[in-house]
Amino acid sequence: MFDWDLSALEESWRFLLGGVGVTLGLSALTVATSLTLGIAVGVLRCYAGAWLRVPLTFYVDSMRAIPVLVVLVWMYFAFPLLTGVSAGPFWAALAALTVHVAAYVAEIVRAGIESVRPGQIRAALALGMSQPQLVMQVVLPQALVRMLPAIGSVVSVTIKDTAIAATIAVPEFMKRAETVAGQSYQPVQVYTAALVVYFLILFPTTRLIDRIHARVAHLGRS
Amino acid sequence: MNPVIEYRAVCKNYGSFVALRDVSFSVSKGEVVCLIGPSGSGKSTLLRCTNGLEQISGGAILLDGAPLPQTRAGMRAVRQRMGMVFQNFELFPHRSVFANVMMGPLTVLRMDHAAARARAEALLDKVGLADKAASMPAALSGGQQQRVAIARALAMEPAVMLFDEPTSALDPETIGEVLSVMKRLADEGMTMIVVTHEMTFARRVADRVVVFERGGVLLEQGPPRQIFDAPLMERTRDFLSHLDWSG
Ligand SMILES: Nc1ncnc2c1ncn2[C@@H]1O[C@H](COP(=O)(O)OP(=O)(O)OP(=O)(O)O)[C@@H](O)[C@H]1O
Ligand SMILES: [Mg+2]
Repeated sequence: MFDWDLSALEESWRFLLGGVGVTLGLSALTVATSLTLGIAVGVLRCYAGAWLRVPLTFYVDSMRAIPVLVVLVWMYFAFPLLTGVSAGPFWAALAALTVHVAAYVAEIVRAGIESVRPGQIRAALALGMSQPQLVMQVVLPQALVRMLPAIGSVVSVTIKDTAIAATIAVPEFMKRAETVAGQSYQPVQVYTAALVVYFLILFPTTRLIDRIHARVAHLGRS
Repeated sequence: MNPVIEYRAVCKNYGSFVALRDVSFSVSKGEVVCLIGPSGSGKSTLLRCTNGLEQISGGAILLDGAPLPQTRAGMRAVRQRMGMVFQNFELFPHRSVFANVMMGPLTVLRMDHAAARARAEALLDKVGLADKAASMPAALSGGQQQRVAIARALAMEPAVMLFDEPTSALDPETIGEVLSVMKRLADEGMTMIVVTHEMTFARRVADRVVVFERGGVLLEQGPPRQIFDAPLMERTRDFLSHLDWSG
């Protein structure tokens, strides 16, 4: 029978909780920046001239072809050497996760925009709206509502992916769990606690997004 | 009287496909013109060309004597003077009925909120839906949605209204309410171009009926009496008889 000695957790829970704070902070920032960037890229891929569409397509395709861990490591180790700009592991992780996740968001946004019926665009044009007006007032609001379930999966994948920031020593939850597990020789207890914590963060988050979608789905139906 | 809209030998091709071939007729101020004809004869295409949703391939469309502008800004200005009503209503599903009607005045005309509100209230009242202002479009019947769509178009105070089969997607019991709103609009002197399969409406409300046939050709035009009772063209009679129309 395994001895569930919880002394390491009892001693280090403040330290671990601080890591949860970093994880949540990194997750929230990444979600905010990658939604912003992803929506911008998605909209521009639909409406900008070819001079911008082509490089954006290249960006999206390459991000889908490169593992996020490779982007992260590159961002932390290679980017500072190439540019002379070094902002520390947290910001490197934010930047790497953002450019990676935004590419997926951009694809979702593009599909959302393309799913809006041409008749809606004709109706907006017939009122005399300009292209930016019809995008902002008619197309995007409907597209965003329809995209919510897909965005929800991206959000939960993003929160999970913040755990790889441990590899560049961002003091987030996973990194701190590794530290505590190593020092206390209680990996079973500590990593089990890690499973539970991620579940407790993610389960309500995905449920919340599903709820919100159920509430607003009718707004995107045309 | 000078025509509000004049079509001069209008042609429209989609690639090698000819959707409109040398269509010429004009619409005077206050006139109600009904366009009828078989499916695929280019009626919707003509309406879309009229407000620049499609570019014509040849000929000219004149609004108040001037050819439609080629610039985007010019075309937007033209569209503000033409209201359009679609077969599928195309209300904005994420906005309330009230917000739908205010959309044009607020975003396009940049009218202040109080004035837009007043205009929307008056129009919803006019189409008999003042009590539905706060509803979302999805909560309305088809006939109600189409009446909101008419109010939304009228909110721009257009010089011309274009209707593309406004009752074709409706349940029979709600067609009447939409047609009577349109009839009232016609009685008030609105200039209207109406694509329709409602021959009773065309007969009672139209000043002139224009008949199209396959290939985007204007077959004949005239007052409803002539078109329905004594068409000049054999093919007009064929088309009307195929509508299962008892007159
Ligand atoms: N964007 C397009 N590309 C290619 N062909 C088109 C396009 N739009 C319309 N057409 C074709 O042009 C022809 C005329 O279409 P249009 O919609 O104007 O007909 P209609 O008279 O309105 O018919 P209906 O009664 O079915 O609405 C049709 O054969 C249609 O397939
Ligand atoms: Mg049509």
